[in-house]
Amino acid sequence: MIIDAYEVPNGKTVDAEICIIGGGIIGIAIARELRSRGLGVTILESGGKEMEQDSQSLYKGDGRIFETGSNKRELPDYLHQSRLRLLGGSVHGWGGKCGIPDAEVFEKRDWIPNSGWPFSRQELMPFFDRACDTLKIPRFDYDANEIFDKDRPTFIFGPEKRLTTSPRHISPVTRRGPKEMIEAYRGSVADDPNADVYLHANVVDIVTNETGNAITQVEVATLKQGRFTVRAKRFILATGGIENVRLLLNSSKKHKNGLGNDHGLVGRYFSGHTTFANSSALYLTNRHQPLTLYQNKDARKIWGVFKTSRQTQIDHKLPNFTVSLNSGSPRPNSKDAAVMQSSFLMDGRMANPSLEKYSPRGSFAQAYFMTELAPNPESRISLDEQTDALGQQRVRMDWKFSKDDLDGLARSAKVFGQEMGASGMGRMKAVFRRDRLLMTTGPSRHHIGTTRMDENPKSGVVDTDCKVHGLENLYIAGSSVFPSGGIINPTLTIVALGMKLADHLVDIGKGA
Amino acid sequence: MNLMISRREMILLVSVATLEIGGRWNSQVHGAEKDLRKAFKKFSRKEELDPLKNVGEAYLQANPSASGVDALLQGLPSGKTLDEDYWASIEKQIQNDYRNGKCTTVNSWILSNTECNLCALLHLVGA
Repeated sequence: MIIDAYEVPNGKTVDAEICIIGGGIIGIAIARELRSRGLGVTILESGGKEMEQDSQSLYKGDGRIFETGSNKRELPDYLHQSRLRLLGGSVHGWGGKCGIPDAEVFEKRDWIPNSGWPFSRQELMPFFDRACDTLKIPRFDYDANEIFDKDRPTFIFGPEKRLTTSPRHISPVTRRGPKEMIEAYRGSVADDPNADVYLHANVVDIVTNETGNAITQVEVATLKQGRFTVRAKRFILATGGIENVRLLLNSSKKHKNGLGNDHGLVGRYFSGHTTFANSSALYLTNRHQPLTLYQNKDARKIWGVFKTSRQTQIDHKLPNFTVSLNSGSPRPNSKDAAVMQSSFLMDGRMANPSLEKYSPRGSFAQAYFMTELAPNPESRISLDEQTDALGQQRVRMDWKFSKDDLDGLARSAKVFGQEMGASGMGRMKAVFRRDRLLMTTGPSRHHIGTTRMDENPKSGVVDTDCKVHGLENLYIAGSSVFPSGGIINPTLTIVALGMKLADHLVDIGKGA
Repeated sequence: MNLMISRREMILLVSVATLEIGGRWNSQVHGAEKDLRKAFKKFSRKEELDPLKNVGEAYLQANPSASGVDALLQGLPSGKTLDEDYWASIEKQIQNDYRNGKCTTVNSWILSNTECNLCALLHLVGA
């Protein structure tokens, strides 16, 4: 049931069983799950049912990316353009890409500082299955390298298997899908008479008890000067990887450094995913193996990206790395075309009359690279001195890349280029000018790591149940709890963790 | 050096496209003319040869020890004639380069050392 916070009387106190702060894709996923198992849910969403500029502008802040001790790039609009503040949240801008992180992302790798999760991917697999069901995509219960759809075969690499295929599915619960999909998704909670969904409800303070070890209530403000209180047994913070930090740090009446921040970790380890595309190109000479699986992104079918294999990552101490092919095939310039043809020539094919069936010119493919960024405590979200219309301090983003991050990208790309030649796929040209790299990178809208998960309160903000260390009843949902971001689009993992959290809340609810 | 293909033949191989520009094809490598014509016919224009020479030049600048036609020829497979078998051995060597990481980044291209060798030869003798 939708309730407009503008209609709530000033000073009212609302009692709830479980209060979810944030009505985005994860807040709704958890609410659906809890409701289906009989628990009462109240969602507090800052935005309305449609985009409203005054709500959206609450996101504004100050942002930049830079390589430690080197280049800097200002991103003045990033913070309010990379998120959407309305019921359903960023699902309205999401591309729908879903995948499961590689198993090694969950492991501690000595060449990736601060890497690893407190549990394995295998432990999370049942929740991934449920997340797939929630997002209406097929489950990832197959080996992508053994799929042989005759129209979309998997590319076979050389015996060294330095590269493999990583599968993706596109969820229809996005702007790409039918509009009724998003409506049905958020309607599953908004139309539930036993779930309360407050719109235009901005949480401005998370209040603890006297001893500071449990949350008693949250204070809610509207942009029309309304204020009310929501009390609940348990609270889930689900406002995204940046706003989660902002709310914790702004809630500083009892805990001067902010909630969950006894060890100064809230906001640190900020990371995202970045794409590197502008200066790279692939020249495809191989005609044995079609690349339709990788180039024709039919949203109804599985599609593939190339990735460095687990063994290659271990052998070369590389981060996670993928290469996606774009479907467009613009013509290369004449100089590149000549080198491409020489590669073809030097493969011997032009000289062999029996191979005349090959196109002598090959083809050109645009590609973009994605590389894993090591969790970095110096990369962080913090509070800015500026305040918003509700008097809340805005945020400042200092997204730092390390030298190793960019070296890892270049080294991974070289491995990819070598495997292209070894497998006969073609050749690669990649320009990695360090002084230009940050200017040409495309920062994703994935916000990761700022309330990272670790069993040790000195190393993480939340425990393995996503409960904030030191607070009995405050939980965090979303990619801010990822200790290692890997490289996969995070939404499926976010929803999987939401399923795990819902199970936990149901379990402790039974015992309560 | 166990290179059985002669230095003169290899120079002819890498310079054949240049010769072809003026229509002065006159290979003395018996039996190879047809295949070589087919192989290089795509490089019949100067603007298509220059990028390869540029790759070769850049490779030599970055690898001074590889300078000199003899040194470059030593990096190529042995063979008696420039026939299909020889091209196949070139292809095999290139593939092995890639598999074994014997690659060089030249002008932002990731190329096998053998490919770089051939481009360098083209630069040295085909200019």
